[in-house]
Amino acid sequence: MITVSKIATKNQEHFVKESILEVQNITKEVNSPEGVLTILKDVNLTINSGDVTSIVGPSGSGKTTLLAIMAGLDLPSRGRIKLMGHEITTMNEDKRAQVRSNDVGFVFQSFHLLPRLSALDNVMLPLEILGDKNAKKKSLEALDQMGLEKRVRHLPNQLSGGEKQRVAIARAMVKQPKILFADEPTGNLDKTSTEVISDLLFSINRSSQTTIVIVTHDLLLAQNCETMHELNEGSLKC
Amino acid sequence: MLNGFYYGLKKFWFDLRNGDLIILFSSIVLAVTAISGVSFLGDRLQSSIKQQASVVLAADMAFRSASPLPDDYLTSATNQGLGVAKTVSFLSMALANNDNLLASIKATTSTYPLRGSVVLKDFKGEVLSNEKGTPNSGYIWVEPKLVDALNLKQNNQLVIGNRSFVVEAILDDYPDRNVGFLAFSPTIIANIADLKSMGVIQTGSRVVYRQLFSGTEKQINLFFDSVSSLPEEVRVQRLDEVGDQLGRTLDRSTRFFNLAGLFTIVIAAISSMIAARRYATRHLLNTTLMKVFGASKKFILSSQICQLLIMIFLATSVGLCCGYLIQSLLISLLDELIGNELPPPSLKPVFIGFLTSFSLVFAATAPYLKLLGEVEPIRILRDDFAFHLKNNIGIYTLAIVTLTVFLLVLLEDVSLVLSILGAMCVLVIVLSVLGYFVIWLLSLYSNVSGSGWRMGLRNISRRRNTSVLQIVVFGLSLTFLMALTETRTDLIESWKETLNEDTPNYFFFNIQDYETDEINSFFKSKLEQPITFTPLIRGRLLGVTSSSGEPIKAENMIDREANLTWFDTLPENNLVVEGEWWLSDAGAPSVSIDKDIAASMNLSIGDRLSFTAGGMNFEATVSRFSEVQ
Repeated sequence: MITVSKIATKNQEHFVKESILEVQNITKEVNSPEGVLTILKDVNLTINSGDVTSIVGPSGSGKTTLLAIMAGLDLPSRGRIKLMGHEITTMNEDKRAQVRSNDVGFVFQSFHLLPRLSALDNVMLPLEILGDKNAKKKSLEALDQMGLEKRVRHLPNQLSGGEKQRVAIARAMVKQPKILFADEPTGNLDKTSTEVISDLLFSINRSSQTTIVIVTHDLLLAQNCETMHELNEGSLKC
Repeated sequence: MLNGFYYGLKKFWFDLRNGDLIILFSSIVLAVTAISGVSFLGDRLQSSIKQQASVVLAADMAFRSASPLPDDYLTSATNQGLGVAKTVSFLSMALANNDNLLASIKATTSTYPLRGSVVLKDFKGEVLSNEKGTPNSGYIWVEPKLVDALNLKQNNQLVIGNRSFVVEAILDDYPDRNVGFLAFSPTIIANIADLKSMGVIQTGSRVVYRQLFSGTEKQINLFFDSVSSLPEEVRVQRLDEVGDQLGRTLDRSTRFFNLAGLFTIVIAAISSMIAARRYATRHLLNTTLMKVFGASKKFILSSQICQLLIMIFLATSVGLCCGYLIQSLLISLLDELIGNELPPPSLKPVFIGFLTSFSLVFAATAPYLKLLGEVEPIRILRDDFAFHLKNNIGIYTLAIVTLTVFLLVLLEDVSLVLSILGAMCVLVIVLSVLGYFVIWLLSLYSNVSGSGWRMGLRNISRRRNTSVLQIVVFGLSLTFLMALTETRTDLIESWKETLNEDTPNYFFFNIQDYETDEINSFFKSKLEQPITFTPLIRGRLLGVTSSSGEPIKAENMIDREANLTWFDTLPENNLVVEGEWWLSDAGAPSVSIDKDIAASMNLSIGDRLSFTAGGMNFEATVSRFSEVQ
């Protein structure tokens, strides 16, 4: 069993639940050969600090689009997003990048580890962007906490699926974000690895009070979350 | 911004080691090597030509006149910090040991020569250490021909006009060798202070007065600009003019190298663009992730620019070293032709090397840098890591314009650059159409049996644009190679065509009458065949009398020196175009004239020409027009 007791201490004092993410009347439309396609329709959602929230729904329901908009990776056609007090829907890309750089972590279904970088170099990447002089030390600690101390110099193609996702989680958590967005974090994993990664995410939440938003098909994982939302044809149901 | 530079610096060696930058790096090294190799060679040859030109003049600039020049020019030049000297040259009889010979006297000031040096030997043939370029008053230096002809010994007396001189040394070499009527007589250098006491320069004597100036190019230009209204008869001799003939030969070969350089740059530009695309594609995931993790556009661009700047510096340095080595190799191959040691290169090739790499890297990477800077972080969730260049015509146009401007600056030949680039565009269109056609044909056979063939053919069809790009690049490279080979052959052939068959490799000039027997017997023993001597004398046309009353256009020929020769029998290479060859008993002298010169002067058979040559005036009737092969 992997523990995350040492990870992220800066949020541990936030026991009073307050909203960290507010989604107000979000609509997302895109142009397609068939005309304007509505992917999200008047979505409203509030996520409290320290919560683990899951968003489920069938393929094409708009889950990933909603996650991208909530995390500031994309902009809605209409509506507002307030992330950690910042109205990110009125910001330009560089301003949103600044919000993401300090307090937002990401985990992806395809891991997105850089293939020619070692596990350590992959984890160091977010800290190097911030110019953190202790990037190597912090990254080694993060990998250690993920149980990957013997995989530090390994390249992604020398790691199993579960190990790759643990490296990705270490990379997401190394800068101690306030909120972690996970897009299908167990989508590419076998049953055993799925359990390990699920436990790891909940363990992180418990130890560091990091807010976690998970978009998933995995109902077992979704049901273990404090709050579960279902997205269907662009509309949200609690 | 600084964070971005620091990040780029840290990742540079990693990217170079992992092959992301190595193709781009190699392309730049190749282009800089090719361009700087030619540039180093041309630069050193040009410097050498300038140096040789200054030795030809014995100065950086000279005023030449048939009448005395006022000393005001020398005073003004001295005041402006220039080195100055004066020479007076003329023909006079030299008498010694009861014998005489027509000699070319050069009287010089003690500052002569301003460029180059006078080399002296003693009568035992040993080179004397000599700092001076002018003997002391009462002494002279003489050329070996004079020593032989007059049987001179050290400290013999030699008389020129009213003055007797002591022969101090043998003149082995000196700059500004005589030309024109002075060139055919052996030279004596005397001190200009003794000129008056010789008493040989009279009114009407043929004399060349020269004032020599030396200084930096800027000083010379300033002085020349400050000299107002030079008399018409004063001819200004400058380095550019003297080096012009040598320079033109160099220019022709440089144009061939430039053509090769242009092809190299275009090929290097194409490979750089392909390498840049590969680099950008491999960095797209990286860059997108960095954006997701909070990197700004400025951070991304500064890290990429930092890497490219380091790469430009390293690749250019390596390219310059390789270019210098290639140039050294070429010079060692041309050693026999070049002869003396070339001066070191200037910084111009280094500047050209950096300009080459900056232009290439900018043209190749600008479109991709723009895309990397603007990549949307949302791509990470779509797994979309493909480049879409359709909306970037502007940046591509800028890249092509940069490359064109660079080539124009480098080659300074608008017609060459535009015609090659134009032809290249046509070739790209033809090859693209051909490429798409071939791929369409192949797609018709994509259901052939054999899974290997089927997969291969389908792969070509699926990656149609990449396949066409490969065909175009391959076709361009082959065309360039063929064009270069053809141009090289054409160059050599056209040069050969300018020479007649059996054109001699060597000519001997200035052979005196008393030397012909000795030379003839030498060549008879070496070549086992006699050699032909052609008599030559410099003469001057004084006037023309038309026999038909037709107006004569002789303004350009009158008072100009021309080569005159004479034969008893018609030479083999001489064709009579009009008129007849004269008979030895014809009585009055007659002349044969080159048909082109005759046409330009509107001469007719029977016209009478008056000449002066070798101190004699004579008249001759035009008896024929000829064509000399």
